[in-house]
Amino acid sequence: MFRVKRVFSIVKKEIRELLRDKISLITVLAVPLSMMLVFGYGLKLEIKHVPLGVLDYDNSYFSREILSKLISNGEYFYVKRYFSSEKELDRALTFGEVRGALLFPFNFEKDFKKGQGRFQLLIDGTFPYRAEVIKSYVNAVVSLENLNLMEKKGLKLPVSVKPRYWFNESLNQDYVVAVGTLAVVLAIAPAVFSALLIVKEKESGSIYNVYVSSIGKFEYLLGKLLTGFLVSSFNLAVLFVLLFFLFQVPLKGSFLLLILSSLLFISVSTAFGLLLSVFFTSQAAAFIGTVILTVVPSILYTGYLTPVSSMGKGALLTAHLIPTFYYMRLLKNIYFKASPFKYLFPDLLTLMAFFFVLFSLNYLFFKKRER
Amino acid sequence: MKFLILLYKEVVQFLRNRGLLIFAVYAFTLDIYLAATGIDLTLKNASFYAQDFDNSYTSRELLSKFPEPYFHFKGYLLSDKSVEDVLLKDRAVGVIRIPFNFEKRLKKGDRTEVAVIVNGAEVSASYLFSAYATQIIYNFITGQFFKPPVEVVPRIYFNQNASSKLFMAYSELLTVITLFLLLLPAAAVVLEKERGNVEMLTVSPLPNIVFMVAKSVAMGLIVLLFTAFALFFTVEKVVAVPFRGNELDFLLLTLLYVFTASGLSMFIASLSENMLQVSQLTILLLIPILYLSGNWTPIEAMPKLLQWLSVLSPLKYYIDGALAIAIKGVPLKELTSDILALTLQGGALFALGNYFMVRRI
Repeated sequence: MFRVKRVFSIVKKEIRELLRDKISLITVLAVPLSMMLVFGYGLKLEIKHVPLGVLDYDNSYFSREILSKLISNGEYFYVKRYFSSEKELDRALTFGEVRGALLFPFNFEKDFKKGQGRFQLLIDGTFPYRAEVIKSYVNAVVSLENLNLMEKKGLKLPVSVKPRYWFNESLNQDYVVAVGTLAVVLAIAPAVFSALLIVKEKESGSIYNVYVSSIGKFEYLLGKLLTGFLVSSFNLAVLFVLLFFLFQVPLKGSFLLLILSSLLFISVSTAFGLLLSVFFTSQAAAFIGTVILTVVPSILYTGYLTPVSSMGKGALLTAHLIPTFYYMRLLKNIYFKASPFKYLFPDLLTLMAFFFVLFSLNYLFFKKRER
Repeated sequence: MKFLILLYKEVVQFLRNRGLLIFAVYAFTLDIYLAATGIDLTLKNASFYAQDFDNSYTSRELLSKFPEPYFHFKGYLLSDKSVEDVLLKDRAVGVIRIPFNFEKRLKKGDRTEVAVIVNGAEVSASYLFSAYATQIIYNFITGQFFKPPVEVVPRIYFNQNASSKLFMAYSELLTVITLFLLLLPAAAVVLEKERGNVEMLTVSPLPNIVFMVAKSVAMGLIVLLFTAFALFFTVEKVVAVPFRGNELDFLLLTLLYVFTASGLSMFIASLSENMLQVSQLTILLLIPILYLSGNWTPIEAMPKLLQWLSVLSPLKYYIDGALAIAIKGVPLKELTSDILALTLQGGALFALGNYFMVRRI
């Protein structure tokens, strides 16, 4: 017989336990908050203040002119040190003193006057994304300089290229990162919290009280699920306050849909954590398993940092097995694109299906007796 | 002898915890493999469509200039509606729009404009896509008129094709190491607290400090073994990225880091009474350590305050040193500043962490 009262007594017990345990209470609230702040704020993919080394064999007016063009903006590059030999330069690159270097060869100016001057850009490739961005900055400055030089000779390029950013007109990447971080945080934090809810009773032995009590499997699991859901909903509210007031991400779509899909996703990730709690008999294993199974997939297969359209077939297939993939898409659609409901509906339905499957698995594998 | 027996007990206990063992193996193999082959922040395979109103020889020539594996041409679009559609459904990173009479106007020298429409809801790809596309179009058109007076020849050191695999394999390995080092010793101690074993220990003839150190050392050993396994097997064989330095150097540096991180773990243990606290505190410590290490955001791009704080992240020195050994082939003895920082931090944290732990019992 299903009794709502028993479900709530489980919830009440868990919440009371949490309220009495001050350190747990504080940390449970602090974890999602700190993740959101650190990665939402701190994850800057734009590359700034790159320390450059310069080795100018030519030491001519023109080489200095090019150098000044590169650093004139002041935001992207600055000259950390001038070098006099390639050996020194290599050493500085190896030990990370400079991240890139400009090498102007002898006769750079002469060659330019004859037709084409070439110089080298050496980049530390340890961090590939940074290397690519540095390359693209320098290329852009050089292109611009080429156009200017030709214009002085009276040659004007008839074509202009105009980049336009859709959905995020000013290309404010902080917005995209902040919204993406919300999805990642909600994949991790609720799961980690609920991953210990059952296994802790197994380890301390108090699970025997449950085995012999009149409470049913369904009621017990529902109680635990509700506990996780309630705690995470509170956290969700705090995260939304951050998104709206601190990050000030403009919301283009419907607020109601945003809340609805987020609550649905919290339930999914709570049910996932609970499943690990049902499976394992050690809290350490359940915890580390949850972290490993949520962190990498939800960063990797969801389009958090890399576009979904660049995934290979295999990766795309894997992505469809990960709930965060759907939630990330929902979030981006609602936040930036104000997509019509017909685009959102399938994803909402899929998340619901995930929830039912995960909860059923919980029900299937939880046994009210010692294994 | 007592110490060795304790060490043996911890190792056996770890090995018998099947769940933990499974995840440790997973983390040091598949997890690293997935991260290394999956996360690539550079522009790879960026899908794009073309809206070619001109459909001339020149416009097709221009589109053929977008090279694989950076770009991936998906096809032509006719209407603005379908442009919106592919971007809404995330089927492309961008669309190149070429206007009517592009070829004619180009030949006559009349003004015309190519549009690069980018999906702004992507993070790294949207910037690189527009930067590369703009560059390619300019180069193409410039090439029709004149030889560019200045040319830059870029050369990427240590990692010629800027492959993310190399960086991600090591970066994920170091992250996994940190996670396990923060958690395992603390979990081992708090488990005893939860079970009530600690009371027995305090009355046993064994000094408490020996007991604590044994736990850190045992877990450190286990992580070190897994690191060696991940290095020789996962990284070098499965992901198959080159290792330029000396493996022993890498492991020695890891050993230093083991002390630092397990010292931190003892702090967690001394604060915690149950595993919930351990788990949440582990994440709370892990996040700033990861962030301040400069692995995701270059330290020079951080706000000033965080740049100063980054001195505190032990992972910063470890990553610096480990990547220098693995990717640049620098010998350990040349990494004096990283070694010094790790030793100082490790010594202090390990001593303090264990001291606090003993005090709290």
